[in-house]
Amino acid sequence: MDTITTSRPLATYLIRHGDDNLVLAQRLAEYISWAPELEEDLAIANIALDHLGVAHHLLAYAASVEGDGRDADALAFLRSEREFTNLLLVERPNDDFAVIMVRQFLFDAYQVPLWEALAGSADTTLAGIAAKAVKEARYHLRHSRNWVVTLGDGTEESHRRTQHAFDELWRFTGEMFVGDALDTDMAAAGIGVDPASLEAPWRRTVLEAIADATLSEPEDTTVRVGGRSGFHTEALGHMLGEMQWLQRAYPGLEW
Amino acid sequence: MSYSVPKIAGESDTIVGRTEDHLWARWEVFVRPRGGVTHVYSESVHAPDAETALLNARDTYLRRVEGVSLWVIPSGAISRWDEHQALPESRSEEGSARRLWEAFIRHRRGAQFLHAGSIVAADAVDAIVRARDAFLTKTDGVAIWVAPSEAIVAADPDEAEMLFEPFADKGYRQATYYDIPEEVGYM
Repeated sequence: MDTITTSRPLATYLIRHGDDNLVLAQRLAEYISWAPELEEDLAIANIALDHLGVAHHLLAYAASVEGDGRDADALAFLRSEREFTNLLLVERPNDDFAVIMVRQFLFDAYQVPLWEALAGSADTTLAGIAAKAVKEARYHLRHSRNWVVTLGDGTEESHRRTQHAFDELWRFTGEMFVGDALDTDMAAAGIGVDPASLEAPWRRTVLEAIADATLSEPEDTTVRVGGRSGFHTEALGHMLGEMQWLQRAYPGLEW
Repeated sequence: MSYSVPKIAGESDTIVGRTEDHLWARWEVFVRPRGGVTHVYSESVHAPDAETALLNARDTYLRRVEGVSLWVIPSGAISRWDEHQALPESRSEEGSARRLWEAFIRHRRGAQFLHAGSIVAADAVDAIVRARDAFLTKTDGVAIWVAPSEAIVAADPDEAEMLFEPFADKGYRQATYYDIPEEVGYM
């Protein structure tokens, strides 16, 4: 399978993680004003802004590493679906509140050990971004885990929907731990992390919450991959249409 | 291209994790700002449990105020007095089970309640009387709240970094971050 690359491997690496945060930020932003409670609406807006902030740091740094004249906005708004390298998990649509919270939880449980590892990166800028992001990610995890347990151990309806969300999203989780040549190179250089090393801590966090939520671990399914290579589910294109149309229709517009 | 926000099927008819009257309980929120000496009342949030109340309070009231400590108290655990209500002149001298109460004072109308300190008292009325004697001067104080100390749910100090620091360097959360075009004038 093709790998999306830019002129510099480090930039490619930064864009992957930037895209994860950018796409999830947009997904969460779509949900603003739809949350079941005002307080939760504010919480989701906050979490979306946290992800957007991380995305901005990573994409701006990627743009400077790249040195091709693109900036963070160009990376966010002027790349096509095929050039986005986010994980498939974060582009999954907001089917219902359970899906939103389970998607968030599965990703938070991955981001905490990811940022913990990258906080020790040999690249000091990336290490600095990670050191900030890990504080936010720990909070996100506490928030989403709390909801997973509340919903799973709640009413019959909320239990059913939460189990359904885990079952639906499970096939997109394996991708987080599948590395490619770039991951190997980045880990060998002390800049990045081997994704496979994040699976054990992720599983501990996830299985413990599933047990607390009185849910069942989903059965093994075929692992879906492709996001890191730009092969996405149908959902991403629609999302980018909404996210990018203003810059596409009015290039260079500022406000 | 047009793509509307997705319809979330069934959200409005599903009730999850609420109390029997289908409303979340109300919690009063107190924040100690960075550089502040005491916890300041910051209005309320609704939440089904203490953990959610803390998280909701953090997301609602720490976005624009930089805080270093966060308390939530179930609204029903607070006993309230203001200057228009009569109070017993003297403290209760009954020696029965006394416990620790936290007192919050509003020093003048329009001001926020500030945490004044802790007192040992027999009951809520006794706690208010003792708080008045301990923390109010004759010219000062228009209202008192008291709550049993154990009713306070405090954010774990070990989690302060996670709860409070992420807000510290995000100028875009403040309205002043944004330039207002001249044509708009004063907002």
